Amino acid sequence: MRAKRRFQFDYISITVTIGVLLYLAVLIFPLLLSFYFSFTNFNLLNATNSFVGGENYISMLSDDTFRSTLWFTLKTSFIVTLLANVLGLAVAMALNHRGPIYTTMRTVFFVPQVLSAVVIGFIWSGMLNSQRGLVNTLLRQIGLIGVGGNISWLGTPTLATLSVIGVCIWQMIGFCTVVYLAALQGVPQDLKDAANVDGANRWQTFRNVTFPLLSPGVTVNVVMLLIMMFKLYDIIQVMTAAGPAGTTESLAFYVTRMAFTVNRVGYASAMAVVLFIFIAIISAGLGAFLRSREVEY
Amino acid sequence: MKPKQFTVLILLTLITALFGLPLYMAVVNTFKTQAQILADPLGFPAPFTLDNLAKAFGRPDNLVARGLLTSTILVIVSVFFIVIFSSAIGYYIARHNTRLSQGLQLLFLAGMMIPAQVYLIPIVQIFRTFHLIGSFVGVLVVFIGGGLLSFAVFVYTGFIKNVPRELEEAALIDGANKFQMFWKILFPLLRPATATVVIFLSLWIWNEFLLPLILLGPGNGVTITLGVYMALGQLYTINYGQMFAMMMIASVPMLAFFFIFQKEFIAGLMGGALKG
Repeated sequence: MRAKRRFQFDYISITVTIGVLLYLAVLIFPLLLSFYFSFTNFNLLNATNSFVGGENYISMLSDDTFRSTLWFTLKTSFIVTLLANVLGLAVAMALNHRGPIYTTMRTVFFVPQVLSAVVIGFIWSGMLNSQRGLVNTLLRQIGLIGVGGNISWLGTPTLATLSVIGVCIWQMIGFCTVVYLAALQGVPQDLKDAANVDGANRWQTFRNVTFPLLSPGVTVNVVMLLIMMFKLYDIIQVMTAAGPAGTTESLAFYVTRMAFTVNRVGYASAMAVVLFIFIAIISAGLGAFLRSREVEY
Repeated sequence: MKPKQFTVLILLTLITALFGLPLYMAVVNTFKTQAQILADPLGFPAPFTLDNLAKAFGRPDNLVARGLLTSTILVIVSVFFIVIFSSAIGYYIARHNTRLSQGLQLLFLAGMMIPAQVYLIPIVQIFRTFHLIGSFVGVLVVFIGGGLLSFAVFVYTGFIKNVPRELEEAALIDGANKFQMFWKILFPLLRPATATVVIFLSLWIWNEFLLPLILLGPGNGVTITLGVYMALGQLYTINYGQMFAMMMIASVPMLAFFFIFQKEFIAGLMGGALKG
């Protein structure tokens, strides 16, 4: 066996050491602290801070708000991921051509990815404003609603949920489109030609040749979108502030509110841990499952 | 062009126009008077006015000018340090196959899954103890050492694994020390990885909302994104022109960045897609 080398004071080892220590301090140590907090009744309002075992986790089960925010998060994540992927793929297939027109159109679909969620939230709050918003104005002009009629897009529970879902899809389509465009460019033309020669129609070619080869793109898009949707916070804060009556409150929003407004740090930590576990399962579990079904040629 | 192709192109253009309508509206209304915005939200500006932009910049609380400065400094300093740390860590993980390097790889992969709330809750408690809430340095440290670092390490590790070792070894044999070897020989070869890291990190830091909201708090040298949120929260129903002007100012730097580096942007995303 080789003798153990001593720590060398060269550029790489010094930089790596500082970087890793910083990372441990900012991310890993707080993560462990969060686990610890989640077993305490840490609350900034009363000075006591004692160990309560699994009480916070048990309270979650009977917390209606926790259940409704979790349900809202699961529901919106699933719908947005599904629809943004379908629409993103459709856009990618339609725009997978050369030329300035197509390049411009691709750019339009990608721009929301560059904007902050805060800006997107405000643009759409303006669009969906019941009196002066453009959406209702246009609907009035084409006669779908009466002259004095208003649809309260952000004011009723169902419509507010649908609006949030719609805006998230609008924001995410560009991401899916770019990834699918990249994947489409990796599909060899001769495979499609071969399918053609064998008498496959366009749907069959897509279903049996193109789509399976897009599977790495599907993995990336599904996992990334689910993770981003599970963290959904900014758009809710700007567009609905969780209203009306808490119906558009996401789990990430509830955790943030509990931790920094209500100051129930222990309980918020327990929910944050649950959120983390959900995300870990999605990225590791679902990612591995989708990857195992990927096809190569 | 065949008639059918033409119809498809028209349809695509219509769909794209509908998709881009909110963006178009935000842009044209920045240059309109309040009266025209209310009467004619979709038309071109007539008269054309820069009043909204001027008013946004001239706000008495200086939110816009200060926000732009704060965000720019935050982005430059954080990205600079993240590139230095992540390129070295990525190099270490890619070039070693020890238990330590594998452990580090796992540790940094895990970092990408941690939602901000999980580490922000304890960090706020720690910062409160050390009176770091509202401090610029505190935010910088969290940006540099947080989840963004793990993303950058992931990009550099993947990239360096595909760079042949020979050049580095030759440089070391020729008497270069590790610092010279890394910055003079290896780092120039990592340009595409660096481009991906710099572009996405700049975008994310510029647009980040929760972290500065919690750690800086309102009123303490806010970032531009936080500034927009605070300003629009106050005047949103009153003055549309101001609202669009502020969003425009907050978005233009990143839009310009995107248009200049569009190729690298797409390449960065594609790299992720192809690796899976």
